[in-house]
Amino acid sequence: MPRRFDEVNLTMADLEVMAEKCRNWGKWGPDDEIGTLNYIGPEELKRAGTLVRQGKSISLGLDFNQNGPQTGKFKRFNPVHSMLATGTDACAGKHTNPNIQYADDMVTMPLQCGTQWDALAHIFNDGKMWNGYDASLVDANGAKKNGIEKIKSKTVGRGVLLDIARWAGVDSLDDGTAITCDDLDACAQAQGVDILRGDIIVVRTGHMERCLANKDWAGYSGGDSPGMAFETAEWAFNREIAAVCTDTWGCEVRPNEIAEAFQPWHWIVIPKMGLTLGEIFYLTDIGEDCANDKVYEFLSCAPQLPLTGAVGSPINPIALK
Amino acid sequence: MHRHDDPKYRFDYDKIMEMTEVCKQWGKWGPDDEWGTQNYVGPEERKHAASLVKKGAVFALGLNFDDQGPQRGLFGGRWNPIHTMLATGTDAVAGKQTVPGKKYPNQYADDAISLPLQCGTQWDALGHVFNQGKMWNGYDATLVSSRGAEKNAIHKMRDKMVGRGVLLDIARWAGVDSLDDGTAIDAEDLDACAKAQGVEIRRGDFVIYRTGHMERCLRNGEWGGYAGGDAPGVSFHTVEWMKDMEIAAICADTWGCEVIPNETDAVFQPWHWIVIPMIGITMGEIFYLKDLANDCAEDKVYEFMFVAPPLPVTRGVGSPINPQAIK
Repeated sequence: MPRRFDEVNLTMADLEVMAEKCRNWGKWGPDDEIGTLNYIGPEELKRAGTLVRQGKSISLGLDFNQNGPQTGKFKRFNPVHSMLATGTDACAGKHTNPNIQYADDMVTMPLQCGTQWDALAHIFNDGKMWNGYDASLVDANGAKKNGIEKIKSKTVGRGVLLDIARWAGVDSLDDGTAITCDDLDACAQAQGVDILRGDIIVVRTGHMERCLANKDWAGYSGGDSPGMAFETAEWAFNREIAAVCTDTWGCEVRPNEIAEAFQPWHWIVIPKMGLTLGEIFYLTDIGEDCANDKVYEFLSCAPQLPLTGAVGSPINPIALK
Repeated sequence: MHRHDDPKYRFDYDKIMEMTEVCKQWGKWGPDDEWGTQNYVGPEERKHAASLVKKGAVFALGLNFDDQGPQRGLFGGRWNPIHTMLATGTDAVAGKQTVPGKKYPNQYADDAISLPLQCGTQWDALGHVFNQGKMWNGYDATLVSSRGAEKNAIHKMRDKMVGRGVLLDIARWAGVDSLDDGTAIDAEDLDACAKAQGVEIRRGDFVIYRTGHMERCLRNGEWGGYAGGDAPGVSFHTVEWMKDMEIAAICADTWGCEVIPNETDAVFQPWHWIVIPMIGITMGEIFYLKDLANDCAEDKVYEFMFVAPPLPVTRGVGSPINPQAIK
């Protein structure tokens, strides 16, 4: 069962060791910019297609609006949606030149304010990003390497839900609860699902649902949270996972298990391993559906917006069963 | 195909009103419906779509979103996406990302976007176009106010937009790189192209047609009037085809699907007046079709699994997308 974040005693030396152990630089050539998404090939895609057995479509995207989880921390705010043309204008006779009654709108938002992918250019370690590229390649003009547009046709594959909260018998794991490698394996086994190379792993902690039930995001964005233990970096590495997604703000447990660094698991999995992370996934519906039919695998399709040089993208992931 | 100004195909406002009544599907899926022709896609259609994943290849139909996009302010004050950085690698390397209470600084990049929801590859929500003050299913247009769309908003489609996709490569079928601006595609052309490609159009399909317009602009390195100016596209007279084929959505590689100049001087985008508010069809525009079309021409397979989830922007009337064609 998941344990508390402070039950281990990890230091920056452990971070260094893990960084070496999980390093994939050069694995897919010196020019690679998509990392572990390389694990998804034609065979994996074809197998994913066979998982659509009931014809169900389930969205894992949280709606984008002003009631989102952001508080301004890290300069992230909730989406600002404004209208450029409205039906009220149309009915007031304002849409005569050109003669078409219509509505139009715009949005301003941080790319990681809601359900999203992290690009591989999002996190650096020691001044380097995925595949050894220099962090300074991400400047005010955006990311010249590892930008989100590089994965424009790469986020389709076999999805597996690991419903850790349900497996642990709780509505939501408590903040500060760390999910270990053993937990991931035990949950998969209890659910009767295999973890395969190239899988898109979706981990449910119940954190988002707790906030939605309380009608208060509280510290959801950047505060304390349940999440992946630091050691699970090695699990994702060994299992050759393509992507890891959670219903939390930042995937890993907070407070972090290494006190000296902020989000130490990120330091490993994005820049060293080349793992694409999905965060703020809405997992109520998929969680209930999987609990009902006992099928925890599905075709996962979560196309990012190909924003040139961006380091993240809002998404609406779709699970097809 | 015919030219937009061919007298045989010209029409006046009365014709638009006639087609408004002929094509009206309000109430077909009940008084509370906000999905329109997406109702044609059910579990069987989705299962069938997944069976089309045969070689394990994915094609992205989204044009990159950046400052090189097609918007030139011709319509509605739309601009190209403005992408700004909130944190950068240069900052990280310069040691600017210290965290209170942490010995080691952060090293990360973060960013933001400001964009019209219809500035690039996108879905029109059913709340996007009105006809005489009404929108899809008869809802009043005033339900779309400065607060957004209380009916027919894009977030209602959060788990839709999945099904069987069919590419109709009209340009290739016509033997040209791109149809000329002002070229109108007839219903007979859509049928003949499908037949020539050996593909059948079925109820609930996502039909995507390629005119070559976008590729012409990309090749010329100049968007010109792409966004709101002259373009090839479907003729107004295809509206009954759109209704009768019972398709789920219609998508194109142009700014506005229909031929511009329009075949009438009475209104702007007359086909839109019928297709969105009267028939309830969701429209996809500014699709990047080059890679998919090349592949289809090569393997002669013009059907695929299509997944194009909108961003569920609450009460939005459109959404930028990156549609995936999976073969």
